[in-house]
Amino acid sequence: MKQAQAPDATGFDPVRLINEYQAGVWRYLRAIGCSPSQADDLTQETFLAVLQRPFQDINAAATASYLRKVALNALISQKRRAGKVTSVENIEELDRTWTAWAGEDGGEAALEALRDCLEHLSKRARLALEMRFRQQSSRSEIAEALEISEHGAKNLMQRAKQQLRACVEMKLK
Amino acid sequence: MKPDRDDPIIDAALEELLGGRTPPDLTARIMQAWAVQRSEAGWSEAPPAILAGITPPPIEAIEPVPPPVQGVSSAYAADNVAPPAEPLVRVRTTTFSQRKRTSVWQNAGATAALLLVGAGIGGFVYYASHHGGDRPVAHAPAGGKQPHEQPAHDKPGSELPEAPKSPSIAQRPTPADRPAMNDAPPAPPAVANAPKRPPQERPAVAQATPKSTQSPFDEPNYAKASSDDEIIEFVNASLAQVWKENKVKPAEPATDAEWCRRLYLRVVGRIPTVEEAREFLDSKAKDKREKLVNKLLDSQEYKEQYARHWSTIWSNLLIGRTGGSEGLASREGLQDYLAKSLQENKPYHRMVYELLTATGSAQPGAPDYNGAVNFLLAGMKDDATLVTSRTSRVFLGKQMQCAQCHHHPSADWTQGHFWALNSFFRQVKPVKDNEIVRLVNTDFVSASGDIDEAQVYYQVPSGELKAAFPKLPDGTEISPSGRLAEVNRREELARWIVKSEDLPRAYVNRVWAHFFGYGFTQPVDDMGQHNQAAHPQILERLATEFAASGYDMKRFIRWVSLTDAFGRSSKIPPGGLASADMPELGTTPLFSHYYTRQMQVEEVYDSLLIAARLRNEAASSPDLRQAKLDWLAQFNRPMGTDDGGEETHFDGSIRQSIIMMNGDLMNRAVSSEHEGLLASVNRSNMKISEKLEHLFLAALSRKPTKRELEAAQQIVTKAGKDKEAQALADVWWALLNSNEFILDH
Repeated sequence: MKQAQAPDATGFDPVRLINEYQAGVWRYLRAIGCSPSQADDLTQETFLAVLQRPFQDINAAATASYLRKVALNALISQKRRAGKVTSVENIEELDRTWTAWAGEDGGEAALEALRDCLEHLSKRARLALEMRFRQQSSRSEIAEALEISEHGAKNLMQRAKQQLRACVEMKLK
Repeated sequence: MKPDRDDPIIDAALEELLGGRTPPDLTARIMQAWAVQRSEAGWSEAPPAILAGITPPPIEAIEPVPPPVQGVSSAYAADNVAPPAEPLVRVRTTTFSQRKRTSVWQNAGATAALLLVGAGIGGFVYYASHHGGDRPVAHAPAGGKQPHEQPAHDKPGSELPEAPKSPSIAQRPTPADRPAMNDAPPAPPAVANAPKRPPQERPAVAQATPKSTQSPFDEPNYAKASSDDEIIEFVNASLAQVWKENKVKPAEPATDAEWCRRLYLRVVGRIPTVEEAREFLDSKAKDKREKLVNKLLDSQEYKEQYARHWSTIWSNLLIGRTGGSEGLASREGLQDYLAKSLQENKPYHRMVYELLTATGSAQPGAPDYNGAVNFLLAGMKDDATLVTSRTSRVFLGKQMQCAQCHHHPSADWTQGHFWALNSFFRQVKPVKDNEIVRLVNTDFVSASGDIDEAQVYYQVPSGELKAAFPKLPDGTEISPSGRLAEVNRREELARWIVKSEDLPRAYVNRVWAHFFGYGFTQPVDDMGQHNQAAHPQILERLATEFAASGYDMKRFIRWVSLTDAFGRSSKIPPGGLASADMPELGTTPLFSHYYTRQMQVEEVYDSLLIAARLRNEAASSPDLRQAKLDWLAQFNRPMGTDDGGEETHFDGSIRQSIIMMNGDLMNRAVSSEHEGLLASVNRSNMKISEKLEHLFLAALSRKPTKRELEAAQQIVTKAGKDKEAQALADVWWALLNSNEFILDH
């Protein structure tokens, strides 16, 4: 086993490790509830932790799983320091789901599946999600555009996300 | 959670797909931070705390199996991890696909940058350490000490530099300064090294839960309780509103004969005798239904029958139909305890408390006999997992048996919840001495030998070993001590359960289902957010009133028996929207008609004995009980599953049909030779029509219709005088094998 360090004669390359797995770690952190900037910081913390210890990249699945666990612990540590222990159960559930989705490709296949699934949504549901996530529109703006109540807009988006989730899971089976 | 951001996985994915929030390329940033870190502290063998318990990918791994992980519990060791650092360098982000395209160039560039930055910072650190620079790198080795030596500030007298308010990565504590890193992570799954909660994680309430001497029972608040009439009226009005809102026409009122039969079945577990049916049908009293309910519940004549029936019901719930037939528990002992409790109308919560905290001998007649111990004894094997799931299911209406091995798929129960509850049943053990089984309290020492923090261990699906301490279902932790002198875990749990709002709720739901065939949830013992109750206003009111009544079981039975819904016919009215109230088809039960269903197997047995007058009052109680158990054993057998599942053949199966048509009991019931109803009918001076009416009353609790009577008379007449007895036996056999006999309708 080779201690993690800069590329040397043994061939271990930390840059390659980060390059190959950082997207998967970052997406995982986002999937378990981190904001983008939080995911940035925790991804960094994850790799810094891993690089301090002898490490060998045996295969993609094992390494990705290992990194996710380190990232999860980094998040839990952060939450514990912030006194947010209660959210751990939820994190565990999200962790299981994303781990099932992510595979060895850092979630690329899941995103691809989601892209397909979006096409199968109703026009109104897709429009609501586009407004929300692409244009950062407020719920009232979405409701107005679709000529429905705010509550209706909320329900529409919730249902759409449920459909997307079911669709992605089906495609990933 | 932000508004409309309710599914982190989908939300994050949509933000990436639609909003362009793609994974940034953090390579340069991480490599720079790593270089700074290495140059500050030198190489450290100690892993950071967030790696505690996580084994790197195995070197010899062939299959891509995820490495053993510590999961959440490992965070206990992570207290000393530095807070997340502000990024040293913010780099422009690129998408993952962009990054892939440029990765080759980046590899080369980043490696070069690394070498340059590393060399630069290394030079700076060298300069600082040799020239007494005041850079706040508190942990840089001072005085020429080697990196692996104890940092100066850890030694007595050394001063710790004041921490900067917004630490940059360059200012973060180095790995060598993190005490937790020096602790080798626990090595699951060896129990000796199983995860142990660090001192700071001890529950704050541990000192606040000494053995309590106060009564666990609240006195019934009669001032708050409503009268029986008010409660029944509330249920009637609520259901009438439900029917109106659902545009359902309720069924006509049940006939007296129908109502009388179903009341006997529900309250004393058998159909009425001919005399009992006649007495009720002939009564002209306006309040005869109320009088009959009171008679079955309160009169001395029925006290024993009521207790026997309900003790059977509760025994089946507590240890299963096959429980106590072998093993440590005595079914007879449990049923004896329950029957006595029911006869004296012991408050339900008191009975529950006694069942959960019992100690003593299992068998009647033994010294310090306490039949209540049999509930625990029947489920103590396999680390009391069965008792754990039964306690939750029967007393709280929560199914958590699946959480023994994995998180509940739909409810909020996790494995941790299950095993935390399980840990309440560890200070007890069965002791067998000269064929006498006793349940005794004992100190609990965990598998790792710890009695002060006596935890139980369980394995999660990944293979990792976790620890659980006693924690009540509402999250309240009690002292982790395994010493009985400090805390009696079972008593703590029982105290909590008898004050839980779920206790009356679960009881009401279950007993309501006993009367109507369906409860407010389906199944009745799976209540919670994931399985919303139908008509919650009725469930909540009844649960509140039941608790306010002092958990008076007979009073609750009285309420349900006298509701309008219980008095409705099972016949769906013509033109009624049958499909709107067909719970057997999956609709929400509206209780607009009485749901026809097959009698329970015990009810069939007792009804056959009563109808055919085969109950031998001279026989001893144990003999009668054993005969019944033998008959019931033909239909039930344990499945041997973790949750004590049982298989029954009394569900319309061929076996049931054969035994009902030709079994010994049926043969005795239709024999006209020596004993039973048929023999006495044959010997009587009644006319044929009267004999037939008697048989109808005995089997179906009603008189025959004109058409039925004519058809039956024709059969008897055709047979001739010589074979009249045989013809009556045929009619009698047909009645006992009719759907109407075996159905509760």
